[in-house]
Amino acid sequence: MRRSLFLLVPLALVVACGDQIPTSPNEATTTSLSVVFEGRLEVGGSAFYSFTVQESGSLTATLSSVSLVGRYEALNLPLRIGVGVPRGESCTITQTAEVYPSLTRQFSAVLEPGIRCIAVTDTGLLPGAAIFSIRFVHS
Amino acid sequence: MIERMRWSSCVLAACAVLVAGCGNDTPTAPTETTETTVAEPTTQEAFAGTLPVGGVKFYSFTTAENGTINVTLTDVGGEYVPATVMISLALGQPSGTDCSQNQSVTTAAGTTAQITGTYAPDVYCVRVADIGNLFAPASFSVTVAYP
Repeated sequence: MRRSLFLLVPLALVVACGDQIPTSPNEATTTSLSVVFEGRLEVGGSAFYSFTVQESGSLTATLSSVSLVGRYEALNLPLRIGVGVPRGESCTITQTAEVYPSLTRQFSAVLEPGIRCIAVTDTGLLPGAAIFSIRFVHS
Repeated sequence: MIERMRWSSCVLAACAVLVAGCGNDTPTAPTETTETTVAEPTTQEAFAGTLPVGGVKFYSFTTAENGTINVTLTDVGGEYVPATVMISLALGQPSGTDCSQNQSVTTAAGTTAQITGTYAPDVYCVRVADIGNLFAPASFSVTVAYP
C-alpha cells in the first residue's frame, strides 16, 4: 500500500508536467489616436498632418476654430478638410468636405492601416493668413 | 527496512528526474529561413525647391516593394550660397507636420547617393534642412530612387 503511494508521487509530477500552451492575453487592445492639429494657413494655402493608422477604423474631425493671425475674433468661414496619403510636398486627398468652424464633429472617414494624413485648405474665402485648430480622433 | 530505504531512494530519484524535465517550455523561433527579395530602384523622382535660412522641407513617396532606396542631394546653390555648403539630408517617414528621420547625414551636393538603405514597402520621405550654414535661401535638388 505504501509502495503504491510512493508510485503515485512521480505520477502526479508527470501529470503536473502538462502542456504549457501559451494563451492569448484577454485584455482588450484598442489603439486610439486623438490629436489637436493647429497651425497657420496662408491665403490659398494648405497644411497637413501625418499619422500612422494601426488598425482599420473611423476618423472623425472637428474644425474647432479659425481666426486671423493676430486677431482673437473667430472667423465663420469654411475650410476644406480632407484625409489621404502623404505624397510629394502635400497630402493626396481621397475624401474631403467643406466645413465651418464648430464644436461638433463635421467630418468622418474610414481609414485603412498605414501612414495617412489630414489636410486643411483655404476654400478661397480667407481674407488673410489664419490660425486654425482641428481635433481629430481615430479609433 | 533496507528495502524501504531503496524504495524511497528510487522514488526521490524519479521525482528529481521528472522535476528536471519540467523545465521552461520556452518556444523557440522556427529555424526555417525566409528569403526576402531586395528590389533595385526602378522609380526616380526629383525634389527641388528653395530652403529658407533655418528652414526644413520634405517630400513624401510610396514604395511598392521591399528594396533599396537611394537619396542624392545633387545640387545646392543660389546667391550667397556656396556650392560646397553642407546641409542636413535625411530619409524617414512622414509624422505630424514633419518627416521623422531614420537615416540622416550632413552633406554637400554630390553625384553619388549620400543615403542608401533597404526598406519595406511603405510611405517614406526625404528631408532637407539648414543646420545653420545658410546666410541666404538656397535652391536645392534631391533625387530619390526607390522600387
